[in-house]
Amino acid sequence: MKRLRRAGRPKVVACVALLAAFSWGAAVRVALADHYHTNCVGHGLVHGDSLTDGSYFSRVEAGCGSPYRRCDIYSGGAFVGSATVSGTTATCNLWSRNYPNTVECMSAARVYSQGVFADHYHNAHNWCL
Amino acid sequence: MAALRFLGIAAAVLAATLAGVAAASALTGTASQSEPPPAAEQFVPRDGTTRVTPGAADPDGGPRWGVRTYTSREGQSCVEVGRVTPGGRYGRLEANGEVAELPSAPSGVCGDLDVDPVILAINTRAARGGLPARTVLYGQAAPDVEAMTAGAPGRAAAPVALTGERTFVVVAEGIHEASEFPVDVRTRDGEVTRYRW
Repeated sequence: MKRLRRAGRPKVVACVALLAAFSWGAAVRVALADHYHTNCVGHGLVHGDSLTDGSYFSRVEAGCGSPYRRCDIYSGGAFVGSATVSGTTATCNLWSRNYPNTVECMSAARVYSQGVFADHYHNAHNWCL
Repeated sequence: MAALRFLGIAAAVLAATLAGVAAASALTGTASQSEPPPAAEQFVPRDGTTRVTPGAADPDGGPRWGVRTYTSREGQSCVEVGRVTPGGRYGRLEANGEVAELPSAPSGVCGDLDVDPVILAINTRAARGGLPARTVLYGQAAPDVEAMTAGAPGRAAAPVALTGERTFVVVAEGIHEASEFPVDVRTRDGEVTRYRW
């Protein structure tokens, strides 16, 4: 009985280790996503003229057959607001100045484009949270 | 023997880590090459094209909601929603009831009204700083749009009033899903386009 337990334990440990490694790889990849990039359509957080002036945009371009797209702003970990845009040509573009009291380096764009990419976050380039 | 086993385990962990990276990249699109955002010309207002049109009243009163429109330097039609003072100033409502004016900026939702019959957007604002949460349907219709209807939370579809600039605003209290705002647009040729987010 004791032998069986000893034989099974390393397999369980190995499975846990592999699962942890998979999760860690996925988490790190998402955390290190660029603040703006193109995956069929451009999307992410766009800083204005400065990284510290509080003026920035959550943005998802139109294209690639997407019927609608969404761009949200989070600041300090809290939801601030969102834009959802329908149609084939309109870009989702949400300006931080529409909302009072957001801190640029603590802000993230949460973006989604139906049929193109899944819901995910892009942190500010100068992320400080 | 022990060294071989260790190498095997290390290789398996590395493979699992890379698989996690690949899975996350596939879901979020982060496998693509990082590129700078598009030139702001696509969103920058062309001089002399900005218009502010008051629209719906807010359920709590105060300055009306309204739409600011402009044509971008690339010729796209752009719309954004905010509060409008009786004097026609456009901006953001502050907790003290005043409107903080927002300067002209590359801040609109921009599209092509020669392709789409409407530029249609929904904006939500979380409750912050003493201001209540709101969900606002807004946009601009092409010249050949004859009629529009829109549903709203707790309300059946109703005709949408178009302003002289062919803009529209529908305001709802709280934060709502876009699916709660079904929109139908009928053009002069009789075609009806249904937007079911």
